[in-house]
Amino acid sequence: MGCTIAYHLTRRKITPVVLDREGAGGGASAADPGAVWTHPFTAPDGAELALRSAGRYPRLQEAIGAIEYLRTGGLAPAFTEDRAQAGIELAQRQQAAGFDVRWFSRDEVLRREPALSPAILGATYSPHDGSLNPFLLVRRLVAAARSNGAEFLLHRGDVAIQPLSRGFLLRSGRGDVEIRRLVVATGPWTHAVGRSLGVVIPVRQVHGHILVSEALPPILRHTIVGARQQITGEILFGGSPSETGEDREVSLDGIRHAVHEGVRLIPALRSARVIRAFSGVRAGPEDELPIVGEVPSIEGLYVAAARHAITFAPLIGEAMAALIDTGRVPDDVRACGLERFRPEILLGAESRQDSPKNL
Amino acid sequence: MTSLAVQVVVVGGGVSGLAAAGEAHAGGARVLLIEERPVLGGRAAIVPGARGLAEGLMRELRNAEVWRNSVVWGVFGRTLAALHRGRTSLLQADAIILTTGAVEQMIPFPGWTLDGITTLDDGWEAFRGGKIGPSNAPVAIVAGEEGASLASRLAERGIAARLVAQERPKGLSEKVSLLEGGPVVAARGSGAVERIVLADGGEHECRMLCVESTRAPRTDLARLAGSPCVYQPRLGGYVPRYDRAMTLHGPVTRLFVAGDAGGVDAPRAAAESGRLAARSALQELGLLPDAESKMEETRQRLRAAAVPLIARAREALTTGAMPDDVLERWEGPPETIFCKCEGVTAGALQAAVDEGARTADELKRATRCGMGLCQWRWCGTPVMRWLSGVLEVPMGRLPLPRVRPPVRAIPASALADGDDPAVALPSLRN
Repeated sequence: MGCTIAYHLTRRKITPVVLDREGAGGGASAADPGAVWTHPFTAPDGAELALRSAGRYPRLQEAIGAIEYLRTGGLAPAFTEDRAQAGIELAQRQQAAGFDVRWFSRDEVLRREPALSPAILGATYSPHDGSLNPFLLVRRLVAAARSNGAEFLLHRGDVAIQPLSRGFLLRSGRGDVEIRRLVVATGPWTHAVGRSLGVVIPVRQVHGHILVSEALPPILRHTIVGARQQITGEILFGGSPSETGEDREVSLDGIRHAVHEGVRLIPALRSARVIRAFSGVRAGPEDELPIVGEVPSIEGLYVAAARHAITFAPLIGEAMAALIDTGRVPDDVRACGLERFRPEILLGAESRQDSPKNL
Repeated sequence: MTSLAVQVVVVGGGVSGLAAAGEAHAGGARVLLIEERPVLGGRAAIVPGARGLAEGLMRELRNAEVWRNSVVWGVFGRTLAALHRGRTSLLQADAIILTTGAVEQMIPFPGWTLDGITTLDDGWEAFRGGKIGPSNAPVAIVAGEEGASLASRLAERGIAARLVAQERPKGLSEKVSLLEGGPVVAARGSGAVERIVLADGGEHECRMLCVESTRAPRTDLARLAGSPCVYQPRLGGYVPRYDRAMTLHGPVTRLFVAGDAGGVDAPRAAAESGRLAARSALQELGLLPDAESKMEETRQRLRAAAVPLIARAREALTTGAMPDDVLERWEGPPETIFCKCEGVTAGALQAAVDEGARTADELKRATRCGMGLCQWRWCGTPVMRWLSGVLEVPMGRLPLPRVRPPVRAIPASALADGDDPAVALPSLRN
């Protein structure tokens, strides 16, 4: 997130400093399976934003270099009547709003993706979904931002943020940096950073496991909710996320859950070997929409966060850069500002954590 | 997944594991010994010199329970996940003894990934399995202390063998010729090795090359359990920290290490350390009367059996007196492959460092090094040594790559609950 914002700022001739406790792309980015989702959003706002953002990847790839972006098309399968019904309604709603999202029956899905389980009832499909390599994305963004003048101060260790009369002081064991404007793009750690500044930013930590199979012959063409196959042949598959906080350890339950869901989706996976597992934590803004905007109560403080950060990277990068450059919120992201959350929360009047919700 | 409660689990059926299991069983504990291979004995079943010792220890096992062809793939707190007969068994153990041994790791040189180039132990294994024949000749062996023996055996079988060494070791068969031009600097061939190049520039025909390399303790399971490691070249490389009672440092209690997994030593020392760890476990479980004198007795036998230099290094480790400031380095051409699974070269690693990578995990993200089938098992320490030299940071201050379960490639069916018939899927790579 920080890297896309930095890159887009440099395109407006603004040269930011990017700070991280570790290297670039070591947090949520490192645990992302790399799917670019435009369609399985329940809110039409989310879908529109995602579509717009994903649509910018070809141009971004041309500008910064290969990131293995592929528009594979995406499928969100349904295994229960309820989900099937929800999927049919989603497709109708999105089509009415002008987006290309279709409902496929089971046979139609299996014709296109024979490796999926015959137990599915159907799936929603969009040709705009795809995948990319998150490590390459971060590398290219860093390289491009750097060559445009952005400064990267990495491996700082713990960073403490001190508000000044105008601006902020960022202190770490490796030196201090004083700046006027600060963009908090700390993903799953956004809430903690906000608290240290007296602000409650409603971003939860969402946790999930991903398993990696050995390299297999090509059996998946699309990006599926729950699985995709890399160019190198490995299939990445995972369990649906849970809310267990920051624990990045791989757990037995996490592995079992991921295998159960993976095998339910792709029966042939049963006989494949799992070569590694990793667990990741991602940002979970409270209402599924990304957060892009200035903190109303603190001048010079901006926040950017999204659960599907890979999908929203192009859009948020451009929008935040525009906001910082012009002072005006781009129309694109009007629905993403912090104003939509209850003001008392932002001002820290309520300092308790929100109770977990089912996402 | 089935659950099983055991008093003492011993992971690894080499000489130290056999001794530990036998001792624990004799002490009255309910023991389970788990071995990855189809046979017990570990290295002693492959490399000459300790076979008698191993066979004696196997007899002492009596009716202790043994699982062969089974591998511990994960540690979760003090629960071990083991693959046994196609399914995962979750072992709840009162005491865990890790006797996972040590494995040779080759230092990369140009051409080392060609077919026909192996470590010395793998060469022994191929020899024992009858897999080395005239079509592999001439065989060249780069020898430390143990390579000369394999060369002699091959030559006596009529397979042309040469030893790369500066002087003729005592006892070397006359049929083995010596290659004195210095160490091997490159291997050449298309697909499989055909020639080797020595430091003096001389090229020699070679269809199989066995390179004796430093054996490094296998630390995966100890690290999964949260034990910190130190880097001590005398003990073979990274070693988990433990105390005089062979108890591993870290959050898991009653976790012990023995044998080469705690530092490579002589086979008899491995056996004695296995007994020491078992006695330590028995003591913790309240099953060892007269514990102090029994432990001291085993300690003395361990000291007597150990190579003096190794014994001193181990003493330093257990008393915490190890300076952790060893710098390593690797030199060679940038096209040399470091990560065999993904084909990552030294040059690619350097490019990643130039772009800001400072740790093994960052190198992994930038280059895919360590993401393949072996998951750092073959390339981890060589990459760390390379990084130490490039960054000029001591090995002990470089964070190790994150290790996560499963530490072996495990069929998904064995990670799930219940079993259904599987659809066969061919793998792209072996």
